[in-house]
Amino acid sequence: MKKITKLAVCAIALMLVAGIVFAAGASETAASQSKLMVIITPSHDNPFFKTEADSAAAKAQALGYQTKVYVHDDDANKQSQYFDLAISDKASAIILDNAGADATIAAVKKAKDAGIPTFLIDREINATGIAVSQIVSNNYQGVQLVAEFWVEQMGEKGDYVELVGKESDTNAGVRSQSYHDVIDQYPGLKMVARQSANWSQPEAFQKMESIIQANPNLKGVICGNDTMAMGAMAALKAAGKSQVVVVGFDGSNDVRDSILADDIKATGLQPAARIAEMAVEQADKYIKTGSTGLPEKQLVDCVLITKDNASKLDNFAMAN
Amino acid sequence: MGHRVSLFFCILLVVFGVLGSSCTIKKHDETDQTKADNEIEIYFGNTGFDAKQYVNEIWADQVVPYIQEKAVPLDILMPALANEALDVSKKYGYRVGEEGTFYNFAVKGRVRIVEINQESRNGLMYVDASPYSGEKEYVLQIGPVFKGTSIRDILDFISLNDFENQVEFARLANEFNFKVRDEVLYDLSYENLLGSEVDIVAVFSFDPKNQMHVMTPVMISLVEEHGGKP
Repeated sequence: MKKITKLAVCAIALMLVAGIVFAAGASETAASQSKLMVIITPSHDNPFFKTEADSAAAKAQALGYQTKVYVHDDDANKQSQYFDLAISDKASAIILDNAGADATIAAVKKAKDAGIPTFLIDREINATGIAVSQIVSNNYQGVQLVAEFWVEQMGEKGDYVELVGKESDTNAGVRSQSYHDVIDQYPGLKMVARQSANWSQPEAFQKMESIIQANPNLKGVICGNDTMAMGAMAALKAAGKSQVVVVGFDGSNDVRDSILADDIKATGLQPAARIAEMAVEQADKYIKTGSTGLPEKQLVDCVLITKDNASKLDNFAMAN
Repeated sequence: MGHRVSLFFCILLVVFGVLGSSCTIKKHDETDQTKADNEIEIYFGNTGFDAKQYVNEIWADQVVPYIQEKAVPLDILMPALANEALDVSKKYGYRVGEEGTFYNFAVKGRVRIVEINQESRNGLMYVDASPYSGEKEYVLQIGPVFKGTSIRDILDFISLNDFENQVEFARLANEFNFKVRDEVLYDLSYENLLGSEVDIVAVFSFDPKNQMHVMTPVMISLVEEHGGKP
């Protein structure tokens, strides 16, 4: 009996903590009258996800919704708990950048069964008919553009290294696949090392240092994201090899500045801000009319960022 | 009751501490579990979807007839597109949704080959459309490496929703390009074609920023020559 009480208290504490830590900007009174949009993304440590959450929340508030913003840290269990909270808060809709293409299916279904529609942003899940919209950043297409540009810069030949993202992350696989579907068509390009740097800048720096020593003829580096590209570029500069052709992916302000300084050569911008707004607009339409009028899965193209257009890039959006 | 409350806050503190610290601990754990160098197996399995077979099944019966049907004469589409891009796009082009991707077009016409550039593996063929001026008016990619996804993207009967994820959908686009490489262009000997007239059906994605739109040929046939080349 005592154990059960403790467990119950623990559970309540957990929920409270969750509320305190993550319900930033949210009003705790889940009034049944005013409508609530729950926004769940990976950690805001990565500015990409912060931009997503901020853009979605701003758009939702502009449309008259209350918002609660949660962070699942790529943990499907945590994500599931926030879905439970959204259900008990009787949310009108959930905007989600998910924590796993397979692991997320159950959570989205749980919300659907409770009458709450989910709108996915950035990444898709491996099921259709459960979420209302999946507005997917076309990582494959974006990396293709980056890869094609990089191949040109390489003169279609030379030794190169690939830094892959976190292996458990869908996008690490998609991006690597896309790089290779382009690059492997050029027999003059030879991959001399392929390592995971787990999306991390310091890890990319450290791995790059030893790769440089082992491969004196290194001519290019392809990276699964921008933070790894920053790490790789720093290591190359420290080794006096700043002419090596480095490319990344995401479209961060750091890499924008590096491109403008002639270091990193290109990245692919995922229009994170616009995708988040689109999801909220579609959720609003769905809440009001029962339909978005659009197919569930929608691919949004990425934009190649090079020295030509980098100055227009700010916070994952292009100025017109 | 007071006992309960203090227990509650103790647990609150503990949970807070665990939650707060677990973020960093977790990241380090995962960092350390990286597999051996150069031994990353990160690709998707993508079992069960055979893009090549899918394309083979629909190419001749559905894809080519659809694009032929949709193709607009070059001399009608291209000047109009340059002037009133949005109206013309809505009339002749196709894309999914209202934003986020480019419109795709199919074109047809008789052209003369004025330059072939195969320095890059993404080989290009520049053509001049009638009335002939000798200028490079349009450009077609002739491989062996092809770029873009315009064949897939112009087909209104193919939807991302019918595929498990964007990788399957992407493979489909690649396979369409391979089909062009292997079956549309395979028997053309480019060196001998300079100055020749060809009838083309081609597709392209319309990026308003581009001066010239790289087209992907879906059909190319050499025009029977009457009285030799000019």
